[in-house]
Amino acid sequence: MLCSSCTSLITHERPLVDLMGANLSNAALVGVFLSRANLDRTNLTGANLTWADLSGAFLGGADLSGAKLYDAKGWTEEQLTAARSLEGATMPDGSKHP
Amino acid sequence: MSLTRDGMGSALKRRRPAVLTVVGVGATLGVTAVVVVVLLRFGGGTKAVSDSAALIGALVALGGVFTTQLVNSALEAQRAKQARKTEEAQRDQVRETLQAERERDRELEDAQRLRELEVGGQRAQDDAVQAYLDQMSDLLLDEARPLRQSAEGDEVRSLARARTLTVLSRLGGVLKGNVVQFLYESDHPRASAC
Repeated sequence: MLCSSCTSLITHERPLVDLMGANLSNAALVGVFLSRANLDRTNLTGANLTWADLSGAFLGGADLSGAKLYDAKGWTEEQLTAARSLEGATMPDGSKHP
Repeated sequence: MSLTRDGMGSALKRRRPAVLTVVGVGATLGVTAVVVVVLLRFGGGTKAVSDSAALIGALVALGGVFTTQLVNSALEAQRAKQARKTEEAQRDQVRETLQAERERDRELEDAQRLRELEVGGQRAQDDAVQAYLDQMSDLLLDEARPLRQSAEGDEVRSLARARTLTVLSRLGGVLKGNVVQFLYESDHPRASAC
């Protein structure tokens, strides 16, 4: 986890590595800390984000269709609605997104 | 004529031995009966029949030989047919066994090739990640133009992005996760207080 004064290479305040459009489909991100990560327009289809910490992560335009978000931490409705697609995704409460 | 005889011969051979026995015995008895009748009618009665006993006996013997020959031929043909059938069945069985063995060998070869491909693919992915981590370390630790001190639009950032997107597109789910974790955990201080 990052210290309060640190920023990772992909945090959205000052990303040194821009992941926009990156292919993260089916990525195993179980329990990974992604707070403040910039996942702008990334392809996260089928990615496993179970127990991942998404607090403050930027998911605008990300494709989360079929992704597993079960028990993800720190997410907000606003974050998830900014995603391009959540079709078939397993939501943090365990329900399936239509 | 010979063709006709051959045809008749093979037709007889095709008949069952039991049927041929009946035919042979019947024909022998028929011919003997005809000879006896002819002798009774035109040869002078019973005396002629008893005088020709040897001839009648010879006729019966000849009929017996003919019948035996006929039955033997039929039995031989039947045995040959049976042997052919057995041989064909054995050949079919050998062919099926060989075919099954070939298919099993092919399946084993395919599985082996797939395993090699998988191992090769996994090794290639591991190598790609290792190369990526080395390149990123170089970019992060470069004394002249460190990635950490780069500004938006700097060449080093474009390079880091291109390398990252390329490696991500070549990896499986677990290694993709590892790369993201590396990028996330390669923290750098925003302030000297870190």
